[in-house]
Amino acid sequence: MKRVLVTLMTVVVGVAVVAGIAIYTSVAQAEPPALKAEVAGTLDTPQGTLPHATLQLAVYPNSSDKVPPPATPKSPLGQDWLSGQPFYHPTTTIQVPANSAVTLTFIQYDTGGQIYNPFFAKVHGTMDGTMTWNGNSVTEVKSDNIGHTFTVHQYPEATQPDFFLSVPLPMNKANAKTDKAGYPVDPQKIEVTFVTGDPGTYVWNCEFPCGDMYQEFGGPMQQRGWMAGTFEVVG
Amino acid sequence: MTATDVRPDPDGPETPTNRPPSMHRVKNWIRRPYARGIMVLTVVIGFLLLPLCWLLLAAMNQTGAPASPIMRDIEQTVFVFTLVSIPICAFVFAVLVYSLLGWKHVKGDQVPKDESPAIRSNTIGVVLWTVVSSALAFFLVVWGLIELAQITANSYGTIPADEQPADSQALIVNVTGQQWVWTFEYPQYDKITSETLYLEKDRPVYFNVTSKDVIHNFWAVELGVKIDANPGAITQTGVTPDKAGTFNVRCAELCGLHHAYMETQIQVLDKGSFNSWAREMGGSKTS
Repeated sequence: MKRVLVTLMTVVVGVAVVAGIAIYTSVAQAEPPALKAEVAGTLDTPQGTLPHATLQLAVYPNSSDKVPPPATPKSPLGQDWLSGQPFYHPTTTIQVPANSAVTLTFIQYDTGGQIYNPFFAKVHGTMDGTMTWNGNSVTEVKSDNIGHTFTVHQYPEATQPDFFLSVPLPMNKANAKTDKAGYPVDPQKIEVTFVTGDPGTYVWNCEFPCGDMYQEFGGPMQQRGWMAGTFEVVG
Repeated sequence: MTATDVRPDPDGPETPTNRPPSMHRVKNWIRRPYARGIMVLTVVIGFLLLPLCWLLLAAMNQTGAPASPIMRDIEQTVFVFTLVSIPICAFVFAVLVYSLLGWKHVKGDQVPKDESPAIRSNTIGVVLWTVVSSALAFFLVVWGLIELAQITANSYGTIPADEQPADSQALIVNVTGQQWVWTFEYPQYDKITSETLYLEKDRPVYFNVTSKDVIHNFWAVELGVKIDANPGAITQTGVTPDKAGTFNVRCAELCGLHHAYMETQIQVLDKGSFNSWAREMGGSKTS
């Protein structure tokens, strides 16, 4: 009887430990609420006339009274370990319609510097290989003038179409005029248009080293809701 | 009952005989019920393992058949090692199963009736056991070393970095791992860069692999290429893809949030298609 009880207790404790880790991990990496691109009209594309959806994201260098930080759980020790770090706003879970033209607008408030990999200083995957930067059409940004990137990549499932989109977001100068919250009054405005295929779920993240630890690829770079998220193409 | 009807009790003490004692003890041991049970179980489990191993090996091919001599060598080695392991695995499981179930009828502290003379004192048994085990291990070591040499030669791993490529026809690809994307630069084609790996069929390719942040692992699955991508260092390997098609690159080193998505495709093209792609990407000149 004692042997059975000890065995049972061991199994129960083991299951509880594994379940605890799973629940914590699930909560810590929970998906933020999705932001859906709204279809408004049509657009002529090389693939024909397609429904046209738009969506706007902003990138802030830190939270403030004006812009609250993403709702991310604190560390197990209760530390707010991402305080003062950059983040995408209002969310990092993005939904765009399938088989459509999508225009993404980015308002970039952060400073920046040299990107490690110049490949991500170029525009990839947009409709004509360009982006509009403060009203000018460009195909790349100087590699020492990058604030962040918005890079959607790869295919988690072989059954969905391959998809790759990378947009460099130029930096603001460190001495740029700022408002009371400390954000540039004249931020960088970037606009890209791309065409989606069939439905699929992808991941995206910033490829500019803007975090801490691990060659500045830690902290917010490893956290959904901050500099990484999910990109869903929905039917 | 005549004297000729008296048969030795297999569970009883040993009787004097004219046969060599060691051989006698081996034969006597084999007659024991538990030894026979284990032998039968070994054969049964061995035959059960055969289709199971076949299924496992077939599953390995789910991502596609080998696309290089290296991958074929690796698959052959896995097949041979699996085949050789089956009887050993079957024997171990047979002993385990018999130990768990074969003595259930023995109650309390009762000593089993069919306990055998210890085989460790049997010269023939010990020699047989040692020789078979050594021969098996030696075969695996020799096979492994030969295959390793073959794979190393096919990977151009014996050529010093500053002498690569000795063959001017070889393609050089600089592979960069970065959370969580692979990028591939072609220095011979105006340094064009792609997030998909394009290779030419039957043309040797050298990979110079590095990382921008943490340790990644460049794994070209169907080509049999797997090498660490370390920040601040360049690791080198090579392969000759000999099959056109679409294959997979994965990261084989846990590297952060989106490690599971750090995948991309390999497109192995014929010469004309590869040159067309390079020209389209702006890499018409070679440097």
